[in-house]
Amino acid sequence: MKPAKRKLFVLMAAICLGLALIGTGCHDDDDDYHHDHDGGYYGSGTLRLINGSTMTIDSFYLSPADRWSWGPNLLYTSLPSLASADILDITAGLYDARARVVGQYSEYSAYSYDIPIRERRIYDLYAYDSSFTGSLRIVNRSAGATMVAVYVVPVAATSWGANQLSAPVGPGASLHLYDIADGDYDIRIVWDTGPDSIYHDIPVDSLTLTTKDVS
Amino acid sequence: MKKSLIFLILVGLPLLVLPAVKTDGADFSQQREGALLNARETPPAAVGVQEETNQPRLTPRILKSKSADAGLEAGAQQEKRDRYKPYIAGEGEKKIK
Repeated sequence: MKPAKRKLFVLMAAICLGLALIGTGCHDDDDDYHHDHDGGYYGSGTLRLINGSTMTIDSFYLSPADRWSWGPNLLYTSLPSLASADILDITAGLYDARARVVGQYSEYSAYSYDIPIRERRIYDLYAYDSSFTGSLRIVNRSAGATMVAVYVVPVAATSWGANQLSAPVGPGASLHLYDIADGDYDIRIVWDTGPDSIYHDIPVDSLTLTTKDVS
Repeated sequence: MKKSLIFLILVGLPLLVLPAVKTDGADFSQQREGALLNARETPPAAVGVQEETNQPRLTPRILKSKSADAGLEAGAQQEKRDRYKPYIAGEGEKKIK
């Protein structure tokens, strides 16, 4: 082999070797999720709840994705704004999570579904103000009519959904609905006497109680 | 005469248009939680956790109707409150706008 060709061969081999090493270094089959990391001394999976919201998280629930109950509160104490808490010793699998805030005006929740918990890994889960639901209070301001059915559906909905009332609401009383995803809603009130009342585009925002007087 | 007519149109037209855009839903009030109001006055640099779109995060979307354990919400309710029943597409009477 001529010296020039040999140099070229050595150079190409070095480039190939370098690329192979870089490829091996970057790829990690275990890193399907860039947001989880080595658990260090943790023997089983861990979920780290990071409160990036301005509110204190009062309770946190984690239940297997195929279970239909949230189970007990997993926080020993409430989690202040900008603090984090580790939920340890979680058996590997898919989980659903719920964080709950009790505010001055109402209560609010934030959800995440099908969280992959793996052994010896920490899963970081963030909560922000925009993560939480909003609430809606509908006040009966009529002179003497009773609300017998109330429907609250997203503006884009094509039907009125389920009746939100569990019992009739008389004059001066109110219905307080919580755990509503943020967005704009249409409201329909069915009275015991007279025609229905319909209100369009009522906003529900995260960590906010919207009050709507109806008559 | 023409100038007066143009003036009347320019001044009067917005007055006629304004009531037309008022909707039924315009009269409502909103109470934001106190900490949220304070946070808006805080400079972004003071916030330790920066919101990023690619982080795994909780959301207000309710995809499953899981029940709470007994006593879960105890102590939090000072008035009669009901959990919102999320809308299921097509459920209930058809909406006519």
